Amino acid sequence: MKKILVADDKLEVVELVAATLEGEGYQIITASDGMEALEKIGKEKPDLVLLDVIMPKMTGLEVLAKAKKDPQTKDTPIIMLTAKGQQLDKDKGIALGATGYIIKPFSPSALSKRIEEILAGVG
Amino acid sequence: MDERLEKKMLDLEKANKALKQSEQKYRELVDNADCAVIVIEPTGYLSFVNPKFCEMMGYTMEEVKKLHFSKFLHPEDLAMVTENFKKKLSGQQTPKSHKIRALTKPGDTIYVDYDSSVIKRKGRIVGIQAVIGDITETKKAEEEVRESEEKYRMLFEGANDVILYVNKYGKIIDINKRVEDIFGYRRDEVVGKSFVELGVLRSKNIPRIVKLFRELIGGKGVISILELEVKNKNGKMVPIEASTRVIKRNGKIVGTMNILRDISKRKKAEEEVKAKSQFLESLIEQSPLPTFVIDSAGIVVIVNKAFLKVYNVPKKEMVLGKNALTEPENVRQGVVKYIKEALSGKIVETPEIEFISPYENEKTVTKSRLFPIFDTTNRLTNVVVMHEDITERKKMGEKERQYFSDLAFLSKTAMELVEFTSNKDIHSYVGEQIRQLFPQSVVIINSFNKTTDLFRVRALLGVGKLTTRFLKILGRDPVGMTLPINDQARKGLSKGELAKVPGGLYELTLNQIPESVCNVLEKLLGIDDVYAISFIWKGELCGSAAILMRKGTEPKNPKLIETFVRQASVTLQRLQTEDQIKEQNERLKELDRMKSEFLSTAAHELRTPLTSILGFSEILVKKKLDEKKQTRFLETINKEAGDLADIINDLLDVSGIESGKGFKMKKALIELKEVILENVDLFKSQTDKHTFKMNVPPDLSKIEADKDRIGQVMENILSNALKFSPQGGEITVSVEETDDGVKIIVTDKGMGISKKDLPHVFERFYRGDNASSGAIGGTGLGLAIVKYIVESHAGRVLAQSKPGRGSTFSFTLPLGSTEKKREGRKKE
Repeated sequence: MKKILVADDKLEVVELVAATLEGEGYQIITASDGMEALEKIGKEKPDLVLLDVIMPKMTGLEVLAKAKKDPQTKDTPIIMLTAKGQQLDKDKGIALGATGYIIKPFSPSALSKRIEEILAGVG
Repeated sequence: MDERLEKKMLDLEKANKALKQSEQKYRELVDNADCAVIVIEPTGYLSFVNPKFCEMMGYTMEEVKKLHFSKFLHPEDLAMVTENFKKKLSGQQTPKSHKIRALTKPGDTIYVDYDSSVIKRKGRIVGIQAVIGDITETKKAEEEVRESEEKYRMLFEGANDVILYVNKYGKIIDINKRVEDIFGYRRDEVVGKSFVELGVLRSKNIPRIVKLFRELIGGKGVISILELEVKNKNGKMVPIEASTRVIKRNGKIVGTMNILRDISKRKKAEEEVKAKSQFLESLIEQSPLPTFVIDSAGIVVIVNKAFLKVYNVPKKEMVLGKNALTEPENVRQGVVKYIKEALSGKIVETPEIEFISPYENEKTVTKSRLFPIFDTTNRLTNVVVMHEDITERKKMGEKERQYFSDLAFLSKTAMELVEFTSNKDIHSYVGEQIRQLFPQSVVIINSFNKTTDLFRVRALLGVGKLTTRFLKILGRDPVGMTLPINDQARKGLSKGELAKVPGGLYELTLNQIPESVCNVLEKLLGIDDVYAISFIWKGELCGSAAILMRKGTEPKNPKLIETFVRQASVTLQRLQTEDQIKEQNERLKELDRMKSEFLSTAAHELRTPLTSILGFSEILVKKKLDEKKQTRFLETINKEAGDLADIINDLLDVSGIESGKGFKMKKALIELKEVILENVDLFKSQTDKHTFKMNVPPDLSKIEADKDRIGQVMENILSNALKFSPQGGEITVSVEETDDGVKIIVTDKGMGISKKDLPHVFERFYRGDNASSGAIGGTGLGLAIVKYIVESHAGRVLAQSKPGRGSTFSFTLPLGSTEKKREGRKKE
């Protein structure tokens, strides 16, 4: 069973992602700030990470940069969740090695499809 | 012997003896005679000479006897003497004596008196005897007399003057030929006549001349000289100088000798000189240059009216005849040394001399030229002292110089003022310029802020070496001090004119520095008077300059400083405006930045609830969920939709505030306590990390307010308290009721607000560092809305914070709102 980490300080978002992927055959783990997210990326070795950009303690971009630097986790696909939808954040994310990004608000089915593709190695 | 014979013999002897004695006598006589005695034989040889002859002719007795008489004669007289000699020998009659010339042995010619007679023996002429006297000396004297007479005659005739002799009766007995040249009369026309008879004298002069002549002849005086005019033959009057002296013969006055000199040339020259000097005198008199002339002794001989006028000398006599060297106040104090110099023969040009007339207290400035005048013998006769009164010109010059220097000052400063782009150094610059105008003064420049009504000391100049002591006495640096304006200062500075500050430094400091300190400072700096001038532009006060005059100095040329200050005011105002615009610009930029940040934040804030709403609703539509989940998702959707509505309401509120329309308060009497508790309860339910401590008086009065809006205020403040204390902690809500109104205070123990952010927390769109980093959500509108609502209720908001320790937000709702409630309560 593929393990997916959802990192967002908004409980509603975490719950939404969890509800979206429920019954799709994934194990969902969560983190509510950047620090926790980085910790869980290292420990839990998720197959995919959904990472919010704006989070307390450590921003999503910082978490991304650190995860990509760590040889243990550098190959873990990371999808950035951004509500800002700003080109700068997107570019930064891609430059730092994000696999992709999803703009809030997002459609649960679109998210589910995207995750499937990435895990299948298509994305 | 015969007695007769014997007697005869005896008689003969007796006769012989007598003869011998007689001959002896004669011989002695001849030998010792003073004249030469010779006997010439008929042959012409000398048979006898006495010693005197030898002495006279330079020969010895032996030489003489061998010589013929012609040998002793001058060749020119030889023929005459020889002829007479022959005539004498032949017995003819010839003159007995001759004056002839003889030649001596050395060859000299001597004059002799030759007196000869024949020697007869027995009736026959046997020789000639002659007595010769040396008359050379007599002859020489005669010659000299003749020569002298000739010379005299030459002098007499050749004299330039008419010389005439008059006998004691006044008749001309001799006159030289000059009479023809000078008077046109021939000599014979005047000899034998008197002057009166000739009719050459002016009749009015005759008695005087006759009297003088009679006095001379009568022995009163021996000489007289007079000038008179004599008519010449053509009837023209000739000026003459007559010099008359008496002639005495044997001690008796016999007449006069007169020399008449034609002085027409001299007279003419004298007249010319007189005319020339008159010309010069009138030239000097009429000259606009104050001038006086002294003689070689320093006595003033001429002084002109310009001099009297310029030096305010009331009377010419106060200067004329006075000694310029010893009575200098009559002429000039300053010029005496130059007079001395000029008297030594130099031409002197003096520097400018300031002079105060002793007669009137008026200052005169002159430049003088002194020059000596010499006569024909190169003797210094006078010194001319010519002044040039340059008082007016100098005044004019000073005025012009002042004008140009003012102009130069103003144009230089104007250029520099225009160049100023920063407020930073302008005050020192202005102070320095003012100090250029008042170099001795201490200058203080203040700026004035009309919003706060405060002066701020910007620059202090001119304290110099006293700075340390000045600061010690004052106890602080005056630069940076603020002084609140008072009515007196406002009035005094209402015009842009330099005005004296009657109260000195104490008044100048707007009574902000103790009077005793001000007095000490004034004493330290040697301050006499204090002046102030305001910087005003377009009627608005923007600063002031104070000029502290040191003792003995006066603020001159106030117009110049006023003009300069006006110029500077323009720059000060411009720089202030530029600063304000810059500041405004910065604020606008910041606002713009905040707005765009707000936009992205707002988008974020909007998207978060939207994500939930859209996401959960899609799941609800697409997935079959159990009822419990369905309910929870719907609740979430509902809550998020509520949040969304709140955000949108906030946006609308702010947009209303920003557009100036604001939003209306629906005021009514409300229970404040209720509103507070409702909100606290709401937030209590949303957190398990925080504890709430309530400090609300139980009998809190009702107030007149918009319940929803006050609720919104509480919500926003409490929401922040929670948001910015994510770790949790105590949140205290207190209400204090005073006579003025109520004060609601909310304190958290969160991260607090940085000093930098604190003053801005109530500005719309402003989000502190913590908020904008993204860790804490929010639009940055909440507190701006809080402020607006509270102020709409005539209340005040206040934020206090200690970074890391927590924040306190409080707001008041004033008496006005509670009063009505009290009244209302009474009515109940």
